[in-house]
Formats: sequence, C-alpha cells, structure tokens
Amino acid sequence: MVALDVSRIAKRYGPVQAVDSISFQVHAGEVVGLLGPNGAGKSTTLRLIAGLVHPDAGTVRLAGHDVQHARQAALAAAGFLIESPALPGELTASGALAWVAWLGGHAVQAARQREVLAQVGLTEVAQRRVRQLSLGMKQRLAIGAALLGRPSLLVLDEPLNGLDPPGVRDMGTLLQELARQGTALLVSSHLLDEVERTASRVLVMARGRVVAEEAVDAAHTGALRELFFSVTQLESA
Amino acid sequence: MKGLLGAYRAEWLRLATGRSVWLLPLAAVLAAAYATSLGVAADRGLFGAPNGFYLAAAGATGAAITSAAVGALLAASAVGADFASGVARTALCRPVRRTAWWAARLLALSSGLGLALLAACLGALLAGYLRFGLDAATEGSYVLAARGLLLREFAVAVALCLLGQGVAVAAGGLLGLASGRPGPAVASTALLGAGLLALGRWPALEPWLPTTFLTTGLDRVAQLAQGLASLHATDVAPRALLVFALWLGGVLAAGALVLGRKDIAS
Repeated sequence: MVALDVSRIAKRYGPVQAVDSISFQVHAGEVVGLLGPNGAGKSTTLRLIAGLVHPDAGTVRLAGHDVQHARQAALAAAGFLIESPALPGELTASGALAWVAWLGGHAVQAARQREVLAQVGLTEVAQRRVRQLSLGMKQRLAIGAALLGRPSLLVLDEPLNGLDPPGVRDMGTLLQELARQGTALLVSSHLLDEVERTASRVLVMARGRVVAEEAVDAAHTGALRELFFSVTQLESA
Repeated sequence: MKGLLGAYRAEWLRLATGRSVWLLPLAAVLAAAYATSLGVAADRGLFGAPNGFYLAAAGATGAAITSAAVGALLAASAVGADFASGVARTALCRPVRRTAWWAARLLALSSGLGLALLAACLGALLAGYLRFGLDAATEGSYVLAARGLLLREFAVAVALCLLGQGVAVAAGGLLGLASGRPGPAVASTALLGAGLLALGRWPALEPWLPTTFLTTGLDRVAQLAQGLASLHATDVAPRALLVFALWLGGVLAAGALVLGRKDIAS
C-alpha cells in the first residue's frame, strides 16, 4: 500500500530552485532514508509533504489524500517532526501531548498518553515543563507527539539530533519496530550509519533533485557512505 | 466548527496554568484599588460624584483600556513567537485548518484576558459598593437613574469592552502572523494603536474606529451615575457592535488570506 506518493513536486525560492520536480513513493512497512548534503532540498521536500509550503507544481498524497486539496484528511494519516522539536514550552510533557491531540480534534486517552511517553522514554518527566527538558528529551517528546495518533506514515526530519548514543540506539529500534507493525517511515538524517541500520531504501538528494535511489543492504557495511559521497560529489563537480 | 473547538481546547491548555489563575484576583484587586482612589477624589469634590456606579464605571474604564492594550500587545507577541519558535509549524502539521488554529489561538487569548477584565470590573463594582453603595442617581428626591437601570447599563458597557478587547487581540494577532516574529509584531501593534488614537481626532473617521467605542458604554454609565443625562450605553451599543463586527471581520479575513498563502518555512 502506498502511504506517501510524491509526484513531480517543485518549489522555487527566488532564484533558487529548492526542489526540482521530484517523485517518489513510500510504502507501508518501509523505512526510507532521505539523504543529501546541506541545501540539497530535503527540508523543503519534507515541508511540502507536510503541507507547510505550497508547491509551485506537482502533488503530494498522504494515504491517498492530496495534501493541498484535502489537507485535513491527508494530515490525519501522518505524524511529523519537521526541523527542530517545537512544542509549547509552558506545557508539561504530557500536556504537550494533550495539546497535539486536541489540535487533531479530540482528547488524548490517558492510557495512550502513558504508552507514548513510555515508548520514547519520558515517563519520569511527564509532569516537567517542556522548556525545562533537555534537547534530547524535547526531541523524544516531539517524536512521541508524531506517534500519538498511530499514523500510517511518519515523516521525521533528523529524528536522532540531540540524542545520546543509547537514545540513538533506542530510537532506531523504535523506528524499526514501527515499520514491522506496518507504519511507513520517511526519515531525513545526516547519520549515514544509523540510516544504513534502520532504512530499507534511501533517496539521495542534491540540488533539489533525487540523484540516487537504492535499496539498503544492511550486510554491506559502508556501502551507503560510498554511494552518498560518490553521487553528491558527482553532482557538485 | 469541530476543528475550531478542538484547537480552542488545545490553545486554552496553554493559558490555564496555575500561575495565570492568579491574574484574576490580581486584576480585581488592582481595579478595585484604582476605583477606590478615584473615590477619594470624588469624596473631596475634585471630580466625579460620590456614587458607587460612577466609581465602578471609572475603575472599569481604566481596566478596559489597559486590558485592550495588553491584549493587542500580548497577542502580537504570542502569535509572533509561535511562528518564530516553530510551535506554529508543529500545530499546522496537525489536521486542523490553518485559519481555525489561528482563530482558536486568538479566541483563547481573548477569553483568558476577558476573564481578567471581568474580574477587574467586578472588583471596581465591589469598590464602588463598599465606598458609596450601589444606589440610584438622584437629585433631591427625584430619581435620575434607578439602580436597576444603572446595573443593566453597566453590564452592557462591560460587554462592549469585552468585544473591543477581542478586536484588539485580533489586530495584534494579525500583526504577529504577518511579521512572524514577536519584536516587530509588538512594535507594529504599538504603532497601530497610536495611529488609531491619532486618527480618532479626525471627526470623519472617529465614528468608524474601534478605539472610539472601547469605553464609550462605560463613559455613559459614569455620566448617568452623576446625573448627567445623555445617551445610555444601550443607545450606543448598536453602533459599537457594527464597528467592532466590521473590524473583527476585516482582521479575520486578512488573517485568513495571509495565513492561507504563507509558506511556513522555518
């Protein structure tokens, strides 16, 4: 089943073609890594997918719903962490989850709230204000907020930022577990080793285009690094 | 409508903290203290009349002006900060209409400040009652304005202040949305306020400005309580409602247009 269908989307900021007519799909149960050097267009692509930015051309479909024309139905099917974690600092960790749930139009079940906080390892700081959490904890909470509605698609921008090594390992394991349960994941990251460990396929972007699309062979350690540097250097040459 | 209600519940969560609850008694005490100080002046014949409704109206006027100014600046700062910090980005990744989220943010701010304003008005009313009693305005044995009439007019005037405060919050929220940063939003809101006050000196424009009608109902109550019979708050209410509705509609429409076209880039 296609959870995310990106078709020929393009976005220009002034003279810069940030995203240049790219197309790809993400299927249920698949973890797709989105790689690329700084300025490759990854963040703009993720913002286009989340409906935060209006495309100049092309369409994005989440669970079959066009994010521009059926925004609410499309976004209801997905969970997002775009750029840095940004939840209201005045709320507690559990309050922030309630805020996210109400923005989706319903109250959060206390059991689901506890479950998500446990999944991201924040049970002990549930009553601490968001502004008092460390960067890693905020990152975990933002991932928890994305997970809250049991989305069929998760779009995560640098989800491992700010996490300590055990946190990176736990989050990688969580993402793989979600994929096993059928969630589709699109994960942007600079951590090639972690992407190699968790992703089943990678898209490499450069200059707003997808310049390589490869299945990841977890047994072939270092292959992803070779691919990344070969295609991005080729593009910048 | 369901989306708006859900977003309102979400945004209300951000305001209903233990600390913000203290604002209600604080507003009541400050307004009561202000009204009481006016009572001293009235008692000595400096200005005003020794009448509880006059004190209540005068005290509530101070609270309403303060509340509208604070509301506009707070909304500008809060909405600007939401965009600058990325909270708006998180909110708009949720299945809620952009305009519904923004309107809910303003509605929550407006209702929180509205409660504080109500508390302040009650505080002023209590101060008026304790100082002079809430009695009819009389001249000798002749009743100029009965107690029931003054109470009703006071309630209408306070309702107008709440609406005016809502317009102020919406205007601040629009500038917060347009600038996307708290500093410029606050500065432009302050300039807008000053501009409206300056425009109010132009007779052709004055009847169309929300600043004209913010405390006009309370002014009428204060006059009535002093026995200066003129138009009542209920007489000016239809015009005030029309002006507030036009401004609110215009601000919300402009906000919807800006937000609908805005790229939430970072």
